[in-house]
Amino acid sequence: MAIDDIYTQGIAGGWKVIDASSLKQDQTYEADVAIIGSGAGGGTTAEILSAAGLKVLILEEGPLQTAANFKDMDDARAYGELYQEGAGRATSDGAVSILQGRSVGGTTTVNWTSSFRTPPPTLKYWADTFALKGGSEEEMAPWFAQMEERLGVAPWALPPNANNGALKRGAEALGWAAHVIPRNVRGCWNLGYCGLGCPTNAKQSMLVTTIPGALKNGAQLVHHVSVRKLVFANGKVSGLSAEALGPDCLKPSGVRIEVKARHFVLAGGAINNPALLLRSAAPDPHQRIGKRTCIHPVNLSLGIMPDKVEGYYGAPQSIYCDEHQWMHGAAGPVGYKIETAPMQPLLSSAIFGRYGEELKTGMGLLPYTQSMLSLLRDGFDEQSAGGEVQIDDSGAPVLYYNFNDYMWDGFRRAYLSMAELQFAAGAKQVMPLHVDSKIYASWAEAKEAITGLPYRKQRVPVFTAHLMGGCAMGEDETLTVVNSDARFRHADNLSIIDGSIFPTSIGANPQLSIYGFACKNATKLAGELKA
Amino acid sequence: MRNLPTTVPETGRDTVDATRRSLLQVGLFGSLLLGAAGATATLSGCTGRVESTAAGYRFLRDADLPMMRALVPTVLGSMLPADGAERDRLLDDLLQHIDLGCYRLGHPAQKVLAQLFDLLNLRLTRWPLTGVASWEQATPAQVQAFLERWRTSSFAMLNAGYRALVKLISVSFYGTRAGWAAANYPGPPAGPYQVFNS
Repeated sequence: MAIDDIYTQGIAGGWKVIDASSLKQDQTYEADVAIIGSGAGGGTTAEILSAAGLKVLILEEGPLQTAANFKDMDDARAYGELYQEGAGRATSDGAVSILQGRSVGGTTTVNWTSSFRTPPPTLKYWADTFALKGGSEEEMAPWFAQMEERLGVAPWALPPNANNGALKRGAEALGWAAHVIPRNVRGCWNLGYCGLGCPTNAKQSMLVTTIPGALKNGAQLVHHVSVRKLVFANGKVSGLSAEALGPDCLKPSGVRIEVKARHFVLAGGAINNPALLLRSAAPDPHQRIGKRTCIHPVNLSLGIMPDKVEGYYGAPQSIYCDEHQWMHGAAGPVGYKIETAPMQPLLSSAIFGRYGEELKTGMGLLPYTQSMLSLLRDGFDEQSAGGEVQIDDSGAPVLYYNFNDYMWDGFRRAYLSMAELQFAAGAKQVMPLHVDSKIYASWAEAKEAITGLPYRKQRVPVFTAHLMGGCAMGEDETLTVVNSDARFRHADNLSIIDGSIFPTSIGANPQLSIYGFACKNATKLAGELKA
Repeated sequence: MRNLPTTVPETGRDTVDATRRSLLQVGLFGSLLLGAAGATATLSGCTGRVESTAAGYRFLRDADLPMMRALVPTVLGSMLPADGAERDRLLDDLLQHIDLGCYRLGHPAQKVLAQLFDLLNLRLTRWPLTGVASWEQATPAQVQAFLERWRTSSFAMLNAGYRALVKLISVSFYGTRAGWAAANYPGPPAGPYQVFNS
């Protein structure tokens, strides 16, 4: 029984989808609105603008891959083809590994489906610090509700898999609050392969919801196309130039693409948007483009359980613990959210970071291994300024991100919390993932060791799957790149609609925050463009 | 000649100690590399390495192959079959995976990786930084000593090199069926897999 991949039938029925790698001649496209990027921001925007009757063109750098590709549930194929830089993207010095999607649907095609509304303390912090208007809890509630309905967001109704069950059990034993994660799924098979692309179309990613919705409304999708430059002239964007990529989506094919549009929307994410603006020498009088990039820095801990966990099967994230998230308020010592990570072998080995017999023994215990991760809430305290996106001599983005004692303190507390949870959940042994850690047989031993570990770059392996900021929104023009409606300050016909406009991190997995703000800003934009 | 490393701008607020330490590292590492690379160019009378990749590869060059053939068995230890055709086949397969992983990286990461491989291959930097005179003749003990030295070094750049090499090799291996078996991973759930693929 083959799963319907949606696109084969859609294209046969007249959807306008172009694989730019197949183009033999230079092209010029025209549209009312050109949207660069097809992830959470671009997909949502495309559906809303096309439903308003506007002629929409979606440009996506990655490939179009569907359930027809995802049916092998193979990690090597998925990480290589669906992620930025084959899942090898990292910060300038390699200290932070970056998992970010790159195919039609963007990161929504490969995320783990956790769907949280932007926490109220985060919204209040944005209003207080960046003078954001229209973003209060009450004002945002209908936009979140609209997208939750569109994408089937609901608390996971089945029991958690054993990996998440351990987080629940540990939190209950310690008296810490743990809750069920809302997920954007319909008819989920509970397989656990969300990170490799959903083989059943159950995950309500942009790939199976808003992009098909936009295509039904007559939008055009061009994939395998890399936008190189926006042309700024007379206070407007007059057009953009792009390169078609070859079939492997890595090198230009030689075909050039020009786009003319009334309005342009950037939705390429918090690394690629600032890079495109910097390549284009966009006006930036206060030097804000690419600044304050927040990443929810992640550290992890492994627990060896007496019984099989099989963390590679079942919904990857269904339980979270916010016990340490807001205990000091929005600012103050850094807060963190504790969740779990799916444990297919390739990703597991990437986080494990050992070699020889240690690698063999540790990875050999994979079926018994429980994983926890902490998302550090960066960007809220004056001691946490985030990172910065710049471009290199080829125009490619480079993310610089440094850690100071404020952040190291957060990593230390997060290791402690995760180890305590794992022992409370019944772990026989715990291994905080740190270059100098050992395997600890008791909470007391782990606590002493974690406190004494060195906290420096390249000794704490850090990961991120949440890229935010670099084009901050708000009314304080000395701190922000776009206004509260996501309009770029220095050109009349340019909006930025995705996670890059968040002025801090979210304090939760960001996809629903992106959907909610995209829904609000795209709806307003549709009204203005139709007027 | 590949480009030399540039210093990393400090955008965060490291403590004074950490900043001093990282400046010291960049200084030492930078001058060592500059000196060695300059001397190599002078001694060899050419302007640098041939840039072309090894036959059948997209990123790795001829000089990188013996290095990887020495590193892979040390990182994977006894998970690599002891000898014979099976070992050769898996090694060749892993080198292809490693090559593809490097090839998929963006320009900035490729530049840094190329610098790392140069350091490991240029005679004047290889010996002082790794203790290995020749990758072709390196014993497993020598390669392990090198990895351990880079893992425990107080120079963050050497730690970064260690982490990059171990990650490249281990993710390549655990993406293969041999890696799945070593991790005792049964593979995707059999029932749904059959449903999707029948």
